[in-house]
Amino acid sequence: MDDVHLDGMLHAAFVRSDYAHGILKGVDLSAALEHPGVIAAYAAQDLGDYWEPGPLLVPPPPIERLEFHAATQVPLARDKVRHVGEPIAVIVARSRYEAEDGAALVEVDIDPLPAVSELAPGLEPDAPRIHDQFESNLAAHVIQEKGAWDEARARAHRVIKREFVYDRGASAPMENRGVVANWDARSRELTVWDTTQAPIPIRNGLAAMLGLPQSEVRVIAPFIGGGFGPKIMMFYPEEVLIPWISMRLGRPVKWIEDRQESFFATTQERGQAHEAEIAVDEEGRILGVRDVFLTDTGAYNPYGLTIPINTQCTLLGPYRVPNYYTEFRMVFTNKPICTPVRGAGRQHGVFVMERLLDRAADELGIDRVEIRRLNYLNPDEFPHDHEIIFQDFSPLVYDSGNYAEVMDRAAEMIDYAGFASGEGAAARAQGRHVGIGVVSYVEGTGIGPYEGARVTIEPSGRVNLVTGVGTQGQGHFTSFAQLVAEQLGVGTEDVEVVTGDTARFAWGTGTFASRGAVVAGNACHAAAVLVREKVLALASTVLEAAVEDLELAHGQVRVAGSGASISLGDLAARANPLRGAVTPGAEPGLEATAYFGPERGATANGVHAMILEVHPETAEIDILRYVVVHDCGRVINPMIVEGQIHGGVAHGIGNSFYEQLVFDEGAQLLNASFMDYLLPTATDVPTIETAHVETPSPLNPLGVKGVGEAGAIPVGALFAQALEDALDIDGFEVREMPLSPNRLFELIRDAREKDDPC
Amino acid sequence: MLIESEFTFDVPREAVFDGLMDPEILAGALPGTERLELTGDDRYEGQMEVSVGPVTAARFAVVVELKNRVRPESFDMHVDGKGKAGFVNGIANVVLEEKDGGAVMKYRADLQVGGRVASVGQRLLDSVGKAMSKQGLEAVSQSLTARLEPATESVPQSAAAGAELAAASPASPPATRRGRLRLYLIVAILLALVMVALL
Repeated sequence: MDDVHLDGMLHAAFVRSDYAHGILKGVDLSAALEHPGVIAAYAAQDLGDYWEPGPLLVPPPPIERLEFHAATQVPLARDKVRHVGEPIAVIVARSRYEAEDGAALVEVDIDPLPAVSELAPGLEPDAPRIHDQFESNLAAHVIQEKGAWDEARARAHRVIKREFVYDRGASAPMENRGVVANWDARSRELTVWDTTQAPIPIRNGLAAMLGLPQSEVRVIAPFIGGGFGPKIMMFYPEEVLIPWISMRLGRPVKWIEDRQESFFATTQERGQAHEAEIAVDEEGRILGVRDVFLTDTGAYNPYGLTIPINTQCTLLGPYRVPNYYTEFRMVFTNKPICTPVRGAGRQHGVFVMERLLDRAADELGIDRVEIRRLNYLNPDEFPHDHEIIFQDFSPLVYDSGNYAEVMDRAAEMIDYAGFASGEGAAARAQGRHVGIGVVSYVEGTGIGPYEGARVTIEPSGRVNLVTGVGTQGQGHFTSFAQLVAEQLGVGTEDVEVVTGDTARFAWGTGTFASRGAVVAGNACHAAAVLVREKVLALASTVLEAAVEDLELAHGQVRVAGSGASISLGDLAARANPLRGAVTPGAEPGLEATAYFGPERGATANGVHAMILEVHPETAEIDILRYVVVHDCGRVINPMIVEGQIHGGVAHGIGNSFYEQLVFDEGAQLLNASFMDYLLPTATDVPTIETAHVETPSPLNPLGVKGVGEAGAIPVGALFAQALEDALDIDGFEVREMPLSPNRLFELIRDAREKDDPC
Repeated sequence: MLIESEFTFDVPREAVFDGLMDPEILAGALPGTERLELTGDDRYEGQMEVSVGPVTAARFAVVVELKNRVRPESFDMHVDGKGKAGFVNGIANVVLEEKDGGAVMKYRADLQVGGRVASVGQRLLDSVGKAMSKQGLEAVSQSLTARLEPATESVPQSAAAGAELAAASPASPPATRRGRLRLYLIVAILLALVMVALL
């Protein structure tokens, strides 16, 4: 984004709140405006009618027992500030330096208020109220139910109850956010370069906000260095202001987020606190689960209930759960907004279920892998309706899966059966603490509504593919090209892929929720199939042969046996003649646009296994082996799938042992830099052994399922299990994430004291 | 952020108490203070420049209010500092106890810190806060000891010498060691002249 340079471009810097909660009494821009180089400065009052809270991006799903209070972010704070880093004013200058100097001169008058920094206290009657229009800080209350938990509990052989806390973190992409906007009054075109994962909705929204026809707005999402979720959050204050400023000043304007800013200005995912129970029979079969939790949404909730609904749904995992009661309260806090980050609430659900199963296995004396196998859905039980609502507003129905096979592969790869007596025993004899963990999970992927693509063969023979989703490093240029190349008999490298430019393709939603390959991929495939049909029809006429006798290979259409052929390029030229007649109703050229919208999401699944060594004196860990067996249906490109898994696992390791956003009681973030917010490095991420199982999805022609978030989802649960196995201390239980050497040390010490008080 | 510690002065606690009410001395207790003026009853305003780790030369506008004064035992100091690098505010409770002719000052400060100073300098706030307190109190201790030294020095019991002394000593206590030495020298020479004159 920072590579975009336009003549006469101005630079913006933001003045942000230092307080987590306060009354905004006044903003004085006068000194800033006098600073040399400063061209303009705006606070809320300067925006006039343009000032309005952002749209509610995800309204509440059609769930019966649901209470929802929407409060969305504003372009610049007015009357109140509700989290540290909330934008208060924007300074526009000739250079970023001058803009920052100007920003330092803005006088902001805030009367601090006590801040809400934790979930349960935030719901107390006397808690400071963040949104005065509501009676409390309760943002939502949702109950979903299936079967009858009370009955299940009553007839259970064992009921196990635990409390869990699961915290996430920032998305930390290599490239921060940025917006460049240029209003060209002469050609009446607003061009916006934006690091968004959703250029089309941004275009549509900006057009509406700025009172422009959609055709006069172009949003370009270049090939961005990482998204991971927060860039699908839309209508951020900066996204909404920079284009408006460009239109007002008649000049291009750029804003690039710096790293420190990103900890406040870009959304993140944070914590949940669960009280969960599982009811099992004497063989370890799940009779029912009950889960009640609090979830943090931050100062506003523009993304609705996506994260906690994912938690509710993903908790069920690959298991048969006949009775389920799940309830959550979403709480407003004086912290930055929470929106999905790789995993989007699935981690929390998986942690709860996997931990409960581990406890059940312990108490019943059953092997951890066996208890999972016992409860897996069988391949003949699909489609399986869990009777609760998923984030795509449809009932949660799993399409296909072969969970036992995935587990068998993983257990075999890590030699689970042989560990206890083999490697595990050897380590113990040496006094080392080495443990093994195996966890399984499902991932809801590939949800609608739809995506589209257009394939064109040019007279030069080059094949163009355009689709509306954006690309942040998922390998779209390869995987989408493959799908088209396969249909047209050209090399993958001969397909030119364009993504994320509304001037080239303007129908679709965006890149999120592990849906790119499933939805956009199938649209690319569908468009390629249509072009292939046109190629065959025209070639059949030109070469005077039956369609069945034609072959597409190496950029040529050839008649089998006779050797007559024509290149795709020449055929394309023929399809667009300058003389002669064309059949009425026929479309010129070799081009087709197609859309794909799945009936509902496709359920991928996987098993992660790990051998881990702990050094109890220092609470340091070494991951000795890491195995992932994954089923994302049909694999388009194995290397890209592996890349997604590796990246996800690295992120999962970060969320388990290194990353944590630390806030104090004043809701001040204390580690807003990579000095103190630790990301795992190359030495912390092991070599990851992967294998694939392919259970095609019946929901799309390619049979694919998503894989983008899979690597990150079960890692916390896996760490917990492996640590317990390695330390083997009675009463030592991991019920929280993340850990750290410090925290692990405390847990070990506390458990040892209880185990052996003298 | 909690800062809790104690500091021993060589001077009696009355002197410490009174000294801390003096803006000049109080300024010394807060290192990096560029300016501190008495602007009202027990209210001081001024400017500070502080560095905390990667946050360098951060300037703060400071308001200090002294409350619940119980001479010479205790008082509270309400501090409110605001700047581009964030804010620091809170209350310090100060208790003075007598000990061996001197005073032990026990202080406890509960501070809210926000903005960049908190989010980037957090790891160092504790140690910087302690270092600043110690440095500041040592400076105060020196000032107080110096201020009291000329009064406690043994002086010849002659009215003339006393008058000379009164004439020779400057209106306010000298701020530097060199200044003090110069003063002692002047006094010594005058005394010598007087004694010679008397003999």
